[in-house]
Amino acid sequence: MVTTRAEADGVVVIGGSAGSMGQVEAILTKLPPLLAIPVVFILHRGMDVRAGAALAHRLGRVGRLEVVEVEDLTYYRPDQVYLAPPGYHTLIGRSGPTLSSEPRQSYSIPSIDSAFESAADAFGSAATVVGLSCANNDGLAGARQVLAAGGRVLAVDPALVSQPVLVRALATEPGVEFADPLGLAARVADATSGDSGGASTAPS
Amino acid sequence: MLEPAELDGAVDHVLAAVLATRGADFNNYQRPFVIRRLRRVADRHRMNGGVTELAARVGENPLLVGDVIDSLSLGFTHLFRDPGMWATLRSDVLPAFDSRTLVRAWVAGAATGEEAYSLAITLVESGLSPQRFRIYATDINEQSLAQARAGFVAPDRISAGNHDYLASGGTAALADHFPLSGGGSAGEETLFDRTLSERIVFARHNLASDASFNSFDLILCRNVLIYFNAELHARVHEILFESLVPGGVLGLGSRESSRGSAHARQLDTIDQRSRLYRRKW
Repeated sequence: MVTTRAEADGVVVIGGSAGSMGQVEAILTKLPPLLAIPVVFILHRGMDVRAGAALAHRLGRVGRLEVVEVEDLTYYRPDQVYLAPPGYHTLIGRSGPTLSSEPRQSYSIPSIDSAFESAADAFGSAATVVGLSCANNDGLAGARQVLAAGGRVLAVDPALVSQPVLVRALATEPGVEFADPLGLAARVADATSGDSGGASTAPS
Repeated sequence: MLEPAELDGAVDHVLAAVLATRGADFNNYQRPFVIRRLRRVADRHRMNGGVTELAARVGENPLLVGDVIDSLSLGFTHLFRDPGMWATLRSDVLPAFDSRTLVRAWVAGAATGEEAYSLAITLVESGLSPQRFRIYATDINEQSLAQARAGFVAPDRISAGNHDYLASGGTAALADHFPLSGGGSAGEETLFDRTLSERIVFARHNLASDASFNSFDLILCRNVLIYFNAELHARVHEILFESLVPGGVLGLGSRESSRGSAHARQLDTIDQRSRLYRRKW
């Protein structure tokens, strides 16, 4: 029964809240049908298990990749992207996302901070994290960890979103790259090809 | 900030020290969770060097080893977590227990007792008198077990659980099962119903190293497997399957499934959403 799973070369972790669906859909539309680097979405939402499954199903119809809610023994596959389930923290491992039932972090479960921090731990400079529209600061501390590890932080332009708390806070961090939702989607797609690097851009 | 390989080395060192000094093996726990918990220990001890400093000091300080074990083995749960599972248990599983003279249940990974309390309440509200069931509730964390045995639950946790209790089909108010304790400070503590708690045996059991210890009509092992890698997953599923009587029911957490089990084909799905499975006859 025991299998050894391949470790990914890097990861892209994307965090936002319910108001970020438009940006999430823009990213999913841009992603290629096979990913060299896995993508994990951490979206704040209610605790309802059924609503969680419905969101994965809905997002799976947007692009060319299957959207899978993280379970035990979930391993990265190039034809899937991963969605944090409600009621758990999703932590980023090298061969797959894992779950934890610890208390809320940054007032949130799933917490974007815990996912970003674990991405920095697992992948160091090969971690890319993305801040979307979000109504609180969850993700800021994790993004700092990613920057400290030499990883890359992308964010949607705070002037263009309804809930700019997180991305406005990220604007004070040196090295964060900002873009409009379509430009951001293109950069995320580029990062999943596995050979990205990018010049920093100041927020508008 | 440490490179991932350096962090791995520090974590390996801590886990090796814990294994060597106390025999507790956490090497098959999911690594991201282990890192988070070790960082909490380092923070609590004000170690600016984080996990690296913990690795350097853990060998010289038995208290640190104890703290690491506690931090890694701590369970997190609440009363009537996942009310849909409890509702399905009431409607689709427990009626079949009506004919049994004694229902044996095992709550594996019982943490501070909430899951065992929830099960006892559900069984008695489903018509089983307390004398007709026995719940074995096990965990590896001695502190959690001591808290569970004591039976004190803070009133705010009972209030918080009432919504899920009612959603699970609860027939009273959750607080009815937690009378005020005479020994509580200014009435602020409530104690789990003695007639139900007497039907629960809290005991230490390590799923990572101990064997099956009995056979059961019902096993709840929820939100435990999520912390284990594939190897430990398979081991725990083996123990759970061995411990089920034919026709016995296994309940897993809402993001856990039987797919890591070598016996998955011998487990019928009662309800996929509730993660309830029945061992074939």
